[in-house]
Amino acid sequence: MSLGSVLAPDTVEKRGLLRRPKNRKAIDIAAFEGGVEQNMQRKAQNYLVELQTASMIEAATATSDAEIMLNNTELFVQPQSVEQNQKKLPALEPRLSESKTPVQRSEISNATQEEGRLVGRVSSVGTDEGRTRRYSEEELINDGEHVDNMAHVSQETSVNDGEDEQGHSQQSEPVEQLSASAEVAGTINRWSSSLPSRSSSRSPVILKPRRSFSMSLREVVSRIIEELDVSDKEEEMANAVNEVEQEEISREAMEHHTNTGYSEHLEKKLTERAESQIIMTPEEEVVAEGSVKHQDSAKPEPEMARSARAGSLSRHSHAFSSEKSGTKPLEEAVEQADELLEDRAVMGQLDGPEEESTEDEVEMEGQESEEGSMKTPTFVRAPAYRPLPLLPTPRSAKPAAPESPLQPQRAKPVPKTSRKSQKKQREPALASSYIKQIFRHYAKMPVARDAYQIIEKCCEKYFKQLSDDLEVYAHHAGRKTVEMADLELLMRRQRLVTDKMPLHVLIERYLPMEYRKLLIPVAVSGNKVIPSKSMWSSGKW
Amino acid sequence: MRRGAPRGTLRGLLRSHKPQLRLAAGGDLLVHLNFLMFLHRLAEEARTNAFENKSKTIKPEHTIAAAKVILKRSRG
Repeated sequence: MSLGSVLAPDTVEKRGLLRRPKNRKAIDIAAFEGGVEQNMQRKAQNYLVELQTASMIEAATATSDAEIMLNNTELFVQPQSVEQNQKKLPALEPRLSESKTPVQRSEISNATQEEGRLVGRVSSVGTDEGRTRRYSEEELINDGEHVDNMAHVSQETSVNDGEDEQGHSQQSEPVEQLSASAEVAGTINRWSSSLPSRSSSRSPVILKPRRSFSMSLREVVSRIIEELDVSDKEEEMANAVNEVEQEEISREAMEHHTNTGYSEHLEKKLTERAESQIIMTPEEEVVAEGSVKHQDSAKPEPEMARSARAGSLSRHSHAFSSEKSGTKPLEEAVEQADELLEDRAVMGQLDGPEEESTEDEVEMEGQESEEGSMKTPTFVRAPAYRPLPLLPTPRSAKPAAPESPLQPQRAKPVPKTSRKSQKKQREPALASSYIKQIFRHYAKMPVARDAYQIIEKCCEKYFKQLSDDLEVYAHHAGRKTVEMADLELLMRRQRLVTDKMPLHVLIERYLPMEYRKLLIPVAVSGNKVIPSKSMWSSGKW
Repeated sequence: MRRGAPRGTLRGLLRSHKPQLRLAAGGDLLVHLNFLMFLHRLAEEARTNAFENKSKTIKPEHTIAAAKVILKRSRG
């Protein structure tokens, strides 16, 4: 009976234990991947928000099925005409500044669609929050679709993580970065692939051919494509990339005069990243070549930053299926040469609308993002420089020693050699013989004469330190008079007085009898305490 | 200590460094105590240095090295 009762609970417990791991395993992979994708997409959205500009309208048309699905899932209707986009362009700008995330989401989702659509959507959807939610929903959908691709992406995520961090100064979480990069890459891919469609759908207003920007955009796009080449990217990714590029372009337009060096730096980074990244497909190579050609453009900076980020994002987002889906359609749809051309065309087109829509706010965002991207790499590169040595402020005891001359002139502002004797009277100095005597007594060894000079200097420094400390202690206690408590505190800090070594013991040891009496209150018969602590003597009343 | 504590000198020293600072009645005695202990530590450290160098007298370099250590320790 007892055995039976004992056994029963054991078996029950075992079953429970066995069950748990099974459930976890079943859930973990799928849920985690989905969650990861979600995070990535959110990150991408956030990322895109920063980069957003009115030019987002130019989002690449969705060529892949995934993009189409994405677009369909959006709550706001696509059919908004280009007219709306045009109208909303000015409206977009303030919006962009106001809420980045919602625009990002909307942009991401619309990246595949024409620019006009994007604008229309953005304007049509009054509530940014709604967009973000919808986008998240879409992301979820996309994530679910690309669960299969996770395997491929996972390999790249590790590489991307490192890169993303560099690229995204704003995003703290690596997961978010990954998602953002994935989105960006996806958008870029989408954008490049949808170039031909865009050109046709571009509204005249948007068109503002600026070769410089187009070049830079193209470079960015090419780079992004390279990076994203290996992984499939969803529409969102492409949209994100497109949006990013658009933002970059707009920013560039605004910032003509800004740093060429920065762009070059970014370009270099991109090249580095591209190399380190996943396998370079032929497309990527061609794109890289094309981008390299355009490196001379003056304004590759923001693009480069963007492309770098996109590249990093894309790499990191490899883990996310969304990226893979995005890249795949891109690769398929656009060949190397075509991509370059398309990029150029898109760049020019993008520049137009971007320039129009870009405002100071957008620029601010872009600048911030650029600066962030800039800062992060420098920081990453030189982490050693970051931790400035927190040197404890050492007291300049040594330098003070030579300064505090044995000559009393230093103490007085009007020292003159003729008044040395007077100075000495004024400036109190401990008798050197006294110091000698004490030191000799403590050393118990013959002391060289030169050593006394050093000891004297030490004493001066010591008194200076002492007075400073006492002043601090008294001030800390809100007093102007140094009390016994201050001195005891000083001795405690010097480890002279401890719990094992009370102050009284030290007093008895070192000081002569008469002083001991003064310092240590002793109680004698007759309710008397020596020294007396009467009201009048303490002076507090 | 053959002589008594130079109380007047100590007060003057403190006043020269920090004229705005006052000192309590028995404060200078404790300051003197602190000073004595400081010299004591200095002498011990110098003696140790001399022993390490197998010297029978305390040389200036011993005291310099000792001063660096003790001054840092007695910063509070």
